[in-house]
Amino acid sequence: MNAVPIPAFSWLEIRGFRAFGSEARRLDLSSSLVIVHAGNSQSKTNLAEAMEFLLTGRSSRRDLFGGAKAEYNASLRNAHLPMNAEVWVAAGIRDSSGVEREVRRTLVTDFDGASDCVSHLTVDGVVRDSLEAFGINANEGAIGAPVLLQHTLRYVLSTEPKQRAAYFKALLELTDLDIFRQGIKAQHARIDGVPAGASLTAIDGLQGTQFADTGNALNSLRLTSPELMRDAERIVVEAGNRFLQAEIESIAALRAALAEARSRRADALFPMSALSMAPLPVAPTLLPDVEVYSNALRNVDQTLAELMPTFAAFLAVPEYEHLDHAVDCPVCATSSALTPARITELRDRLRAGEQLRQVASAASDSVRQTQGRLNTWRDSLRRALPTAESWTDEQRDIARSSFIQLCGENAEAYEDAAAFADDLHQKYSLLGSPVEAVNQALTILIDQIERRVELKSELDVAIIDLEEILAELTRTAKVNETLETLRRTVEPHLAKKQSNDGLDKLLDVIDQLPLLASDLTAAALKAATIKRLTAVERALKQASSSVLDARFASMSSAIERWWLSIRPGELVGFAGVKRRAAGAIFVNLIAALQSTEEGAAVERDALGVYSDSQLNALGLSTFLARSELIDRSTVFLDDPIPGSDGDHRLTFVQNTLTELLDGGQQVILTTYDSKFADWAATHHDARGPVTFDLNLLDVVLGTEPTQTSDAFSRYLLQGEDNLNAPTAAGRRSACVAYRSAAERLAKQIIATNRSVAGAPCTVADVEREAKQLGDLVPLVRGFVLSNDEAGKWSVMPKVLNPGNHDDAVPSTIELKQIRGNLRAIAKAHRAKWGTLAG
Amino acid sequence: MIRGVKVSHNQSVAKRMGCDTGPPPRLRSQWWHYSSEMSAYLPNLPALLEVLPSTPAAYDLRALVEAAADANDAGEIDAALSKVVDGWMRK
Repeated sequence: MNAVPIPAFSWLEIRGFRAFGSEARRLDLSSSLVIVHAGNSQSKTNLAEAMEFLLTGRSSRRDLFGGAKAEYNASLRNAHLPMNAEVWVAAGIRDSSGVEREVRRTLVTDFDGASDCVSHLTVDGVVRDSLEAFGINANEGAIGAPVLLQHTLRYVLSTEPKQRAAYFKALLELTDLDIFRQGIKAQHARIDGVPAGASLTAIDGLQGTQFADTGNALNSLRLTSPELMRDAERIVVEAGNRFLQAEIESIAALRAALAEARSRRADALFPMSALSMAPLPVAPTLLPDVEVYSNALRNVDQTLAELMPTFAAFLAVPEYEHLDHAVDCPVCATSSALTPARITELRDRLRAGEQLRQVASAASDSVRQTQGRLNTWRDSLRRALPTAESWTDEQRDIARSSFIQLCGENAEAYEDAAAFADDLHQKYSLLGSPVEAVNQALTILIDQIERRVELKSELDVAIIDLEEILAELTRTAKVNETLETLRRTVEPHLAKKQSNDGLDKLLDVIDQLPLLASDLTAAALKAATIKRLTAVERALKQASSSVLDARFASMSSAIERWWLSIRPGELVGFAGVKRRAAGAIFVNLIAALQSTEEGAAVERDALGVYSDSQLNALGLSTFLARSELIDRSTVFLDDPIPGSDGDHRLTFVQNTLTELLDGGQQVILTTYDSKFADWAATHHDARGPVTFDLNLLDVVLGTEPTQTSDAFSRYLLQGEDNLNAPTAAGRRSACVAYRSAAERLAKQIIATNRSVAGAPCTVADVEREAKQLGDLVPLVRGFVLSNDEAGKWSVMPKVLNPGNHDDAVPSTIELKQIRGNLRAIAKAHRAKWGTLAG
Repeated sequence: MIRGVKVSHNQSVAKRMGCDTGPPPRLRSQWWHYSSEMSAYLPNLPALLEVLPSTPAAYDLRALVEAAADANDAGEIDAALSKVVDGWMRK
């Protein structure tokens, strides 16, 4: 179904398509009714197919006819056209805003075996993929075009009910609802796939373990319970205490105890932790901050600096601090050498040296801190390394056996890892000497600072030695993967063994338990959403079915209305389209059979009971209903009423055509039937129909359309009907029509030529002067274009005046000759003066 | 927003969908017509609304239809529906 109806066509131009040849042919379609008349094999159907190709780029003939695809090879291009000649169909189509757009489709590659034709589509010169903007649904293929061809009509009827649904696709197709339903289904799947919260997943993990009952108890908790979290913790603590045979009260303590138990159980299976290695700690900075001290030391007297600690200790003695008389020196024992004056001097000097003391103290602290970092780092390094190196031989044997028992394979992975642990330890042990050297150097610094002497140590050298050995240890730890290989081998087996007891699962539950309330809330919303989506899917399915039922009802109504316009008042009627099956759509066409006008109708499948002409009417009605329901503003009807159904030409012209035109649809009608064409043009004359005659005279130049929307052309059309009549009466009728055509043409030529010569004149003016062909010929001879034309005019009254005797009626051959003369004269004068207006 | 769709049995829904003035007479009888303002990707949604009953499930379906009405491809439908359904998951 399309939002934008197809706007009316205003012109059509064809070149090289099928019977249309090297000359581009243009048809003016600027009327709501266009009637194209042509004899058999004069390209009526080619015209319809050109329209179909323009709009869809496809051919219903190839799509719907039987036979192999290869049988349609090179069927679109005129067989007589040079290969480099362009083949295209173009049209002026008004879009939804009323603006005329030039739509052009050029054939790029013709059908070739199983390959479709390829074409190039432009709208106002801009390349387009499809004509969706003009209401043409590319997915419908050739039947997306509003063109009724006899083979599409027959296809609708002859195909199986299921395939028939394809023809009604635009009406019955609820693909978009299917897409919408898929969208909802995807939402259902998406919500279904939303994982349960971590706590609920952990609780589910208890199933199949010894804690399954604990899981059930937790699952029975309701979100609405005011004591939800307290109850959940109680259940878990009880389970943990049963497992540990303990009486732990808090869940935090329980978790620690369970983790410890798990670790013990794991090591009992295989001492993996002793063959694991933590990331090696980064070595600390081993250079203490003593620069400030060294600088300060350079600025004071060295001897004094060295004595400062002695002075400080001396003055810290209370007896000397407040001395009021001379005493013996306590250092050198010189008699009465230490006087109050000397004490005061010492105090002054110490005050001056206080700054150096503070700096020295900070330097000592920095060195001691460096020693602390060194020792801490060494211990951390030791702890990061596998401890298996310290195992006794007996422990190694046990570990080897445990590995084999656990993993069920040879102990190679274990042996490699154990050897690596030994290697690491060996490299670690090499660090002992340089670490000790650094320590000693730092101790020396401390002593030198205490003594206020210049700092001299081997610290730099010791650090370099240490870094070299450490680098080797680090490199070895990084490149060797034996520990990782062992871990990957052992862990799955450990996990399997441990999962059996459910301890890990219970620990998971404890870890995730704080999320239980929010997880239960999310789970409840998820369940409610899924319930809503399920109900929505059910509602959508029912509603889609109702939509389909409504469409069948509308289709039935529309088809029946068109049927009645073609075949009113018949006892065999149309009862509607019916669908079968809930899933796949089957379209059955139902006939209503009545024995009397008032009698009840008996329903049968139409295909089984309709006559050929009734089937044709059904196909036509179906097409028209479809076009109406999908808002087509133009319909192209190729021979809608077959010759065998001549009785319904008038009902079609008066009822069907009127309803179409009154409904605002543009109708392009082709027919071989000149009477049908004449009736259609005459009945709807007030609508200003445009009429054409198609003639295929030159297969290279191609079919030539001649506009015949004038009185002369209509008379010619009337003559066509009895041109081949076997009876004299019939040919007399044609003869009368051709005489009228000749009279009309003569009047037009006279009036036109007089007007051009400066004496305005109309056909009516000429008519007042001369009405009969015999009287007109002398006048028209004055405007002939050649002597040959003059001769033809002179002979015409003699041939076309048969009198009352049958043997004087011209033969078909003679009538054809006259028709040819009239066409040639008209064409020559049209070329000179332009179109002869009717 | 769907326009030109008759949703007479539930005026509040109709108002919510911008249809309170009702569709033109032609559209009342011919459900296959729809406004050109609506996405041509899901042209049958208005027809669907016409036949929906007044049930909670139908109300939910209306919400989804309204959300997806302007979608132009499957991705946009998914995004529109997700927005509604995620709302359901929050309350």
